[in-house]
Amino acid sequence: MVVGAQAREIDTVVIGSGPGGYVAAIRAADLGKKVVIIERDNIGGVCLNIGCIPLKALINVGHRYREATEETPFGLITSGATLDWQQTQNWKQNKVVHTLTSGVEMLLKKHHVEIVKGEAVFNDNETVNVLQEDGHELLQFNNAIIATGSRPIEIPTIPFGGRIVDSTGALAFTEIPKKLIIIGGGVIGSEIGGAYANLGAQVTIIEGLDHTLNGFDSEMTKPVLDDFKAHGGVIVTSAIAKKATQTDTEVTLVYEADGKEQSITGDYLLVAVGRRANTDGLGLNNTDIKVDSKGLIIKDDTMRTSVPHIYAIGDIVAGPQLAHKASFEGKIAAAAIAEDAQARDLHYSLPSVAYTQYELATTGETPDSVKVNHLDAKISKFPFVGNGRAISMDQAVGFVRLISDKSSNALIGAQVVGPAASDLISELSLAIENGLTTKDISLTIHPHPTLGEAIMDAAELADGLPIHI
Amino acid sequence: MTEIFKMPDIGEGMAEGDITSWLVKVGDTITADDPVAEVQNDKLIQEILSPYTGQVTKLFVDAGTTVEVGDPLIEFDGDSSGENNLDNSQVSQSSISSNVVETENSTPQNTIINENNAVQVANGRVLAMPSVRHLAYEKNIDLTKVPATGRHGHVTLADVENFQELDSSASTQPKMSTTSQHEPSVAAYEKNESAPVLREGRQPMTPVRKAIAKAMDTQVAIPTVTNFDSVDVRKLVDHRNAFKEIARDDKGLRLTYLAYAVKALAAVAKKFPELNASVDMKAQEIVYHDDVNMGIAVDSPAGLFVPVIKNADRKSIFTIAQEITDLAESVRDGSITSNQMQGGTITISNLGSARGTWFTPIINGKEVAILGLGSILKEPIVNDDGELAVGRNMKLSLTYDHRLIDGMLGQSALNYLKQLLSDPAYMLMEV
Repeated sequence: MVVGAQAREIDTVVIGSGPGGYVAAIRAADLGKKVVIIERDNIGGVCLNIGCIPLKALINVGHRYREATEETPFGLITSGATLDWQQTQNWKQNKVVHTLTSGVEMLLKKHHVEIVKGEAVFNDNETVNVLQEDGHELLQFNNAIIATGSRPIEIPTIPFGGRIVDSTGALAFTEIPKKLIIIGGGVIGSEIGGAYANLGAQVTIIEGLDHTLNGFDSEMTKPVLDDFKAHGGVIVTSAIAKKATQTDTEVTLVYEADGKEQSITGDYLLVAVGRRANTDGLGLNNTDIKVDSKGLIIKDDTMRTSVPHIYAIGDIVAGPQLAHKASFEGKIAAAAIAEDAQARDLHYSLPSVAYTQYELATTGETPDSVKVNHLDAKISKFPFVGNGRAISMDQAVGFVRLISDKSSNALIGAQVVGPAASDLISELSLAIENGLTTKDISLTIHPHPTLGEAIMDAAELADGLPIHI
Repeated sequence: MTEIFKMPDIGEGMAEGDITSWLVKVGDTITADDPVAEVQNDKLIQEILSPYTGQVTKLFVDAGTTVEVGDPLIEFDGDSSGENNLDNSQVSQSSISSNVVETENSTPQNTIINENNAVQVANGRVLAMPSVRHLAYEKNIDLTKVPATGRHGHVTLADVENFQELDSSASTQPKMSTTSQHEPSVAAYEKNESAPVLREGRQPMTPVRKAIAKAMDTQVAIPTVTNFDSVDVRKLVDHRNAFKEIARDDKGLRLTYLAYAVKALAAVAKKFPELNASVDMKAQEIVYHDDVNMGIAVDSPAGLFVPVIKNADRKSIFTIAQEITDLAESVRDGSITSNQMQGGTITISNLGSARGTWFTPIINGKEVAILGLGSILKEPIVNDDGELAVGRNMKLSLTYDHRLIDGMLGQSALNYLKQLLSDPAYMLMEV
């Protein structure tokens, strides 16, 4: 380690090794840049370590546990299924998270990206100071990509600690909660709530808006919410969390709903009310980088900030906080640094997924956006009850919905609720991005029996020639 | 239910506008989004749309009246649907009215442009694969203008490649002749058949003339100084000669001295932030601007327009040249929008192409400085070796607001500008 004021000269510095940062670093290295990636905590960032990946692991355990413990209509009876939670946590941490994060570390090395551990603080527009436990290292860069992500927002009157946890804490519970209270019914709150409900917890969601799962319309969320309630889940909307008190064994939340103060007691309280961009500790005030009123870094469609050789991607810039958005932007930033012609954000659609009991996925236009923007579009919807594969899986819930331009029949939006929605949405994004029409989709042979057939059926419906409805 | 429709803010920061004509009268029944009046603002005439459905029961002002944002315009009797849409959606696509500039331009529809061109779908996107869109971006081609041969009106890779060839052979010439620098040629006036024949007597001002006169009137009170200077730009001339071919062949654009001057003045504005500022006498404060948004005075048969090159300090000279071309073209074909003329922080005016030398430019809007560019003339100079030589002297006139900028500062800024213009290599080091 170099200690002192002598700065080491690096071509490209990437701050943060989440799905935005590590992808940007690898791409920049492959495009011929000498890259250093700086990580404060663990390689892989929030997504791999304490976000998407471990959460999906627990959601998967929840699905399997529910299948094994609930009566199923096809006669498979597994009496006496039990869950060794410690083993679940070990599997999640060692097999899932560790495999992926060590894989990313290996990829970075393979692509000759140097990893520097520490917290990055900008000294000025050209140098960044990496603070480490026992010193610091000064790096002078020609280009920098900021990819520092976000962290959970804390409610001032309900500070994290003890039995009041953020999403990270909720994924690392040492026991399955018997009664879990969640403030915030967004995607994170609903996903974690759904997972623990499947694992046997009694889950109550306290939401400030008049609906949960913001970003998905009520037609989409209905099967999810119905299932959640049928499994003992409670949702209180238009509610304001006031304060929380805790003992060694339980936590009590006071909230206001229907104009009166109420309280609820559980063994854990998860606060999932959104995430704040990690731009505050970066020393941006030492640079000419501009941020907006929300603290998000302002950038153009090449990801360039107001300092032309510094780029910003992911949760710290405008737009939804999604790992795949960060990765996409990371590749653009890397290309821009390498002066590659592809360095421009020209995307048409940004898919978004919620891993609830029935998965929700949307891409491109929605019925709401069609209405708001007065678009001349038609909507066609094919339910999974008409899909052989979904019925054979006993998961004939939900639908595929296509939104197409009325005059050209081009697909401009799509939503899927139901089995494998998170995977099916990719085909629909590909269709939008490539300007495919509903005819192009219905003229593509889809294998039988698959869930993907529902997309073909919905396209045929849009063309006015449905077979299965 | 009675509703009052108030004057909306139809442009960034618009405070007032003239109702040039009413498109409705008392007793008319109209539906939400119908145009109700034409409003003159910032040299543009824009239609404003009704947020309400119902019957017009009263017009608060006569046509020709100046109204402030928020003043009542129309009283309606009817439902209040759309009341919450009181935003820019009431403003139709801005267009210059026919009495301002002769234009055949009609607003493009959101669906199919024409039979041969790419299909644009409802949300304004073009049917083209990502790789095709990237190629079009790279080649600076507007995909909506590319004839599409793919299935269902898709633009293919070949379409974009062929369009490039067509474009460079067919359309560059007219492009260059109309957009040389920003000055229109004398011929442009002669060709303008709609120009009124001037006779002795009184003529009403055109709306554009009125807007210019009004803008200039408010500038009279500002104490200004103009510094005149001249700089030998032989190296710049060589540089431009070397690169104008490349610009034309590789990028299909015309590289002008104005583009260099924009870049150089942007650097001056960065180094001397006083030139990129506004004076707020009410608050007794100086307002410094972070962005360098450079107004470019563009003449047209209708009068002077000043579109703005945003963040000029962060753009390459090629990009600036392209933007000058595009903006000048928009002014001439009447498609310029008020948005494109707002947010300026410093302005440049060029009389060089009309063979002007020194002049006294007048500060634009709330800015504090304007640079006048004169011709580049072959003149005798004494070179570094003490010999008489033929120099290429560019004439510069820098007008500034003396309330904020004193003579020494003005001249220092001008000196720095001269330094940059005298040697493009130096400009490269500094900008």
